[in-house]
Amino acid sequence: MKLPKDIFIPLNTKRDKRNSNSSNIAGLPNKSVSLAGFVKNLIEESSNGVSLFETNLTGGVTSTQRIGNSNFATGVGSTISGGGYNAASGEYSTIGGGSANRASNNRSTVGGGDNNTSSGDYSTIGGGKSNISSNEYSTISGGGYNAASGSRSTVGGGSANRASNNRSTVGGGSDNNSSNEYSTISGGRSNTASGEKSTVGGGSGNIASQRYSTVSGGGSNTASGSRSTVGGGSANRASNNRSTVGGGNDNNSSGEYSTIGGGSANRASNNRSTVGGGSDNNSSGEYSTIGGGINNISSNQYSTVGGGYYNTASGSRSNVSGGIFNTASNNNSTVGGGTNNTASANCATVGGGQASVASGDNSTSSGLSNIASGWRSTVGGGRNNIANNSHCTVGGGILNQASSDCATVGGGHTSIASGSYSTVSGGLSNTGSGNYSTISGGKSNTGSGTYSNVGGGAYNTASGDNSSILGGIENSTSTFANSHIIGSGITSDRANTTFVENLSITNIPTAATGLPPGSVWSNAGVLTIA
Amino acid sequence: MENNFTIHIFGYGETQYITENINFKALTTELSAVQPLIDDIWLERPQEERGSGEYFAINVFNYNRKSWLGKGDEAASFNVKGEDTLVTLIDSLIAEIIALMPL
Repeated sequence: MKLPKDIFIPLNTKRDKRNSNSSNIAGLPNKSVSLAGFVKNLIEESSNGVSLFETNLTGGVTSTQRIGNSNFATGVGSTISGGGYNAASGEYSTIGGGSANRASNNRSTVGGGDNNTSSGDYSTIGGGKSNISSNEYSTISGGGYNAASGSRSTVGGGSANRASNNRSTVGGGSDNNSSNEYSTISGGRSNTASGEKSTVGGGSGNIASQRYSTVSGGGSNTASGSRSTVGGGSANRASNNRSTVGGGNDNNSSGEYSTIGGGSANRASNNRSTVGGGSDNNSSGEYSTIGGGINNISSNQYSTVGGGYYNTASGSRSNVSGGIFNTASNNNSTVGGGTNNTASANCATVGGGQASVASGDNSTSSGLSNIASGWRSTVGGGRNNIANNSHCTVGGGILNQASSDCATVGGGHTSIASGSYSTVSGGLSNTGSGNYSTISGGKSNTGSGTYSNVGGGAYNTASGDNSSILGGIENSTSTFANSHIIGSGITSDRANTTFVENLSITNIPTAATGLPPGSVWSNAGVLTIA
Repeated sequence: MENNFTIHIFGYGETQYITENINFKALTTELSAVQPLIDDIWLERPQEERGSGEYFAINVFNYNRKSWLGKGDEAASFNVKGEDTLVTLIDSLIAEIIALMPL
């Protein structure tokens, strides 16, 4: 038997003193020759050329190589089962086949493939091409150009993947880099898991760079906070500890424990802030929340915007439920909805409507273009109403104003309650300017005296203190206190008097018996005063 | 100046300055800085806005957002958000209002 010139057969040159006599091994090829008297070499001719099966039994050390073409099993107890240009130089290293593979450390294994290098203690490469498992217990199952360089690191397959730290894993895909302890990349492309115990599930260009950080998938996402998570989507960032972005695009959850569910270009920038979805929302207050919508802002602690767009909740614990261009700018302020509403004082509320303002502390407004600017003032609805003093109220109507402490306009049109505790119930162009004055309704009535009262009618003026006008037209109590008018066209001329046009008494007493002094009674048809 | 403030210039004749700790109203006629501020906010209206300048209320939120609420259907209403263009005027008005507050 003559060997080709380009084959080098490394033989163990140590003499095995215990087994100086060569012997056949069961199962070996049936053609064998003995060389040098102390090593038994078995050479088999095959259709591919020459195979050499060599068994060295020297000092208890056994290496086995089956050479198809330039295989070298030089490690103690090493094995090469086939292939060509393989080298098993590690102690008890194994190469199953393939070509140009290296198993260079103790108990390292290459199953097959081409140009693989298993150089770590107990490292394994199943197959593929140009893979390197270079640290202890590192494993590459297959694929190409993969590297498992960390202790106990694993690359399942794919190409150009790297598992470079202890117990790091890349399942597959390409160009992935799992570079910290216990970091994992399941697959995808160009992903990086660089944080300790970080995970990238898949996708491309994702980065999980801090401890326990996770990117499940999508593209170009970054989880850079400790225990941060990006579920998917693209260009999302969870950049602070325990921050989360569920998905969407270009979202940035940068506050500790902050969360963005999805949408696009949303920001949750303070601790425990949340944006559910939508786009271009900014939740920058601690514990602040935006449910969704567009261009909403919750900028103070515990502030909330439910949805809509261009809404702002900038007060602590402020709330805008929805709508457009609404603002809750002070602590505990609320806008329920509508458009262009503003609750700007502490505990102020605008229920809804349009262009309404609640700017007094604890004030409430609603409707269209209403203002409640007084402390605890209220405008219930209507249009262009104003309640601009403390505790005053406009229930509704149009162009009404309650401008003094505890004044009330119930409704109607263009009415004013400007006296303290004055009331205008409704009607048109009525004015209650006297303190505690009351106008029940009608048109162009005025109650300017303290405790004055106009029941209705038109163009009546109760200007004397405690005066009253029941109704009718064009009556006036003038300046006389305690004067009262029943009728029309009457003007008081003295105090403590009741004026009537005509008086008709039904059921008039017919005897004075039991009547107090000053009572009137009918004395057989004659009006008599008791 | 406080960082988070609101100024209301009401068409009915009062101007209100509100912060977390202040809520004070003054008659607009007592504040010389109001009208220049109104004029400049009006100049910031969108080009397509053709309504009249009669206002029901003008809201100023901090330095960078203004809301002009027109009075009636024919009046202009618009929101301006962006650059801090009126800082000097706003600061002047706030200073005037604070000077009127009781000690």
